[in-house]
Amino acid sequence: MYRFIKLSCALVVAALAFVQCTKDLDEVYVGESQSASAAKIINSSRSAVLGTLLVEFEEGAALAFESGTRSAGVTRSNIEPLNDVLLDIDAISIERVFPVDVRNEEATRRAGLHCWYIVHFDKNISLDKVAKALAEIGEIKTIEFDRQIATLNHPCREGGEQAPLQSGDTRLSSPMFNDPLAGNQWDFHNEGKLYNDKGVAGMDINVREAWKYTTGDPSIIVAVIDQGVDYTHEDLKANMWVNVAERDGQPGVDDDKNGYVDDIHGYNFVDDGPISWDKDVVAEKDVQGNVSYGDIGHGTHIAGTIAAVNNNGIGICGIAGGDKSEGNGVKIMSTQIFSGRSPKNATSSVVAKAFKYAADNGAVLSNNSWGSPPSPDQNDAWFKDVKSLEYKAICEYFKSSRDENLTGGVAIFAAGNNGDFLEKNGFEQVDYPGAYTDFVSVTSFGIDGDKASYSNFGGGANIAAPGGNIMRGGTTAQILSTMTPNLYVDEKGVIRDSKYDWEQGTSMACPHVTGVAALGLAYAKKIGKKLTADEFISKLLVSVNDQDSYLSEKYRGKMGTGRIDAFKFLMNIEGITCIPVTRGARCIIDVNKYMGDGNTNIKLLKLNISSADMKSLGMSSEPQYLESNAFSVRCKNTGSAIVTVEMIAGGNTQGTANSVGGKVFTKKFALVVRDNFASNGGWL
Amino acid sequence: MKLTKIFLAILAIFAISCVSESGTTEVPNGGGSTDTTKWEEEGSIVGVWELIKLNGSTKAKPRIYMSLNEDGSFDLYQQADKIYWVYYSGRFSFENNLLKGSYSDGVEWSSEYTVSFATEPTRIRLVSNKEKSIYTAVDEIPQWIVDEARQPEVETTISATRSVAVERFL
Repeated sequence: MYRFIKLSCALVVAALAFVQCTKDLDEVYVGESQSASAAKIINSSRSAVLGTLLVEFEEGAALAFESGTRSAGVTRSNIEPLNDVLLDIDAISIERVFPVDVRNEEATRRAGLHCWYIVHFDKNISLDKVAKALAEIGEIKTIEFDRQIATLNHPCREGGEQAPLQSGDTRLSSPMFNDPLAGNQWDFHNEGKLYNDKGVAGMDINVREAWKYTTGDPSIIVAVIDQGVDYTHEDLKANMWVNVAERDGQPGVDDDKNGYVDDIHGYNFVDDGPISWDKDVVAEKDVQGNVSYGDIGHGTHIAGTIAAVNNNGIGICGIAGGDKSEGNGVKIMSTQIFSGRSPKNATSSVVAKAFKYAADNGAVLSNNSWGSPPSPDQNDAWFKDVKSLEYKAICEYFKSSRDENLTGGVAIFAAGNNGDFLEKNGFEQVDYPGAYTDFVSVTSFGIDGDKASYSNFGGGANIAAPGGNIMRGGTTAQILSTMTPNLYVDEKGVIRDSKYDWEQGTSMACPHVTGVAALGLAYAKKIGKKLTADEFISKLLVSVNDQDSYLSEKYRGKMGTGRIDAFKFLMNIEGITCIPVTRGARCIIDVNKYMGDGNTNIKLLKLNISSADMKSLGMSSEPQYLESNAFSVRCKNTGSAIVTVEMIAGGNTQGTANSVGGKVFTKKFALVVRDNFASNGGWL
Repeated sequence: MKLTKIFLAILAIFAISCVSESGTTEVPNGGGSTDTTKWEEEGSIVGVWELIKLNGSTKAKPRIYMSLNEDGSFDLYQQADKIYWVYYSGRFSFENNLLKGSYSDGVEWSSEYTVSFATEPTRIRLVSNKEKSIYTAVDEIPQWIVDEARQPEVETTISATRSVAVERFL
């Protein structure tokens, strides 16, 4: 508890610092007319990486610069004013942010990402001065300080002894797989029997039902954008993504010419080298008593929830971990953006590179258990304007990622662990980037279904998943998953020495949704279904069970649409649900009844039907929206038509550029009008 | 001569429009598409069928598999107003191209259906109260659907779609 409070304080400081940073930018420029050159600098230098700047060149200028560097060395270009500045700042290097990937260079150029460069120079020279000098150069379009844009959603750990792991699934009925520790995974299957009677049956992701249809697909790659994943772990290695060209190629050589060397299971973008998971493993406390952590097995824990190998007689189960037949689990790509306590953790350039790498190397789903603590200054317009490089990489480039069955990358984020702080300050919002309208933000509940105390909630929250809550049920009421053994030492000197361990946080809730998304994509492949990213996310957000009934009243309607249900997602992938309507009668349609378990937290907006279909069905007026969150229709003719329902997930109002709110999405139904229906629901 | 050609053209068009629905070309349905399938009155109703078109649409329809068995029993698997599959069974009769039946819980089918047949591929068309459904013959109902289909829920409250005129649509 003490450590949790300390961590919360550290996060408060970070949040205030972040807010303060935004205000500093205003203070610098308010009161003076903002020159065109000054407008190129899009963020503040506070806490930015020293001796580093990100620069976007105009399209034509970038091309000239590239030809210059080939012959004249890295610190010279064809742009003389630039050369003067580089000389003044003792430039060490200037190179593309995104190394050339020969397979994807054309796409990179179409996205304009080839115009972004990173300049390294003497760390003792003021960042602001260098930025201003570069801003005077006409060929430069944008300047961004390389700042940390996010922190890890650190698990809210309780110190002390680790809880013993209980082998055998003897406490649960009808185990599906032979993984000995699966009985500890209440998040997958909760019979309500455990954990000091705090457990509520059904508070899980209903994955056992889903596994009857599919357990994964090896062609699906999930990018874990996080600390490095221990790809040697006994219960992960069979489901790690393998870059075959690099594995079978020469060490030290970029065998596949994707711009990275020896990237066999992913890449470490912080240290620009091999994936690691064992740096700065001893927690440190500063003079103010704030604790900072290095590598804590965060990425490894997340990877296990998504795709630990099923039915291998070892460890735990993974949502999309396959069933050991022909290695059919989804594959984990480790795209590392955190490394120990590096000052380059999750900077703009590191995050941008990770997302681009994921897209270029086949990942169409990404798990992101990190974010920046919420503050009133944050909204979609702010995210888009200020964070230009990462916006382009995530919202444009990764979003264009393609899979045979899913067109468009899907980025899933943790909501954040500042819940207690937010509540005390009357501010309800989730972390960015997760709060951004295009992304899915995941809140957390415990074994009893209630909101975990640490979980962010409110504006931007889209869906809920198990993340554990030690306050309700003790240590084993957290989430059990794979862990890097022997490498984490907390501030009390306790060594976490296990290949499996419990953690809690929205960091742990997030991979449940990512794992379900991967399972759903596997099912889409199985049945030959093709979806756009918007369709996929829409189906995901309605594949839920009632949450509000289990929440304390103050959290109702603020955790997203409901609790993720893997089985329902597969069924929603399968097809369109019909809404039956009796001809001639005024029918009231409660759309909620056709989604989830009938108690989704969804606000209806509109029921869209084409004018041609309205005519065909003999509708003299459009569907009428009712106060009771339903629609009213009257059809004079029999027939059927596809209708589209617009809804809001996560709140009663739609998010805008300037205010964080719910995500608007659509779902199709088949409106079927008949003279009568069998009284038992039978079709004939 | 010109007038004669026009007259003959009009006669030809009129002749096509007047062709009886049974046994020859189908008239365009409400969905706007023109189906040129040749539907016959003769054929076998026994078999396993999958719904492929409802009122001319291949998309605005539920998922339906039904097995009409030799002994007069039927098995129906539907994914209609639920996201999961539901199983029904019962008995049917087929006489003078009229298909009707009742469920094992005693509930009568909502309609009687006039049936016609087509080949290459083998299909049946069920028509009732202006609703047209086309089913194609399949080898079997997918086993995973058979394994996972649920029993119908017993509704004790007013259903999701309530009409003012009737209490329950089911």
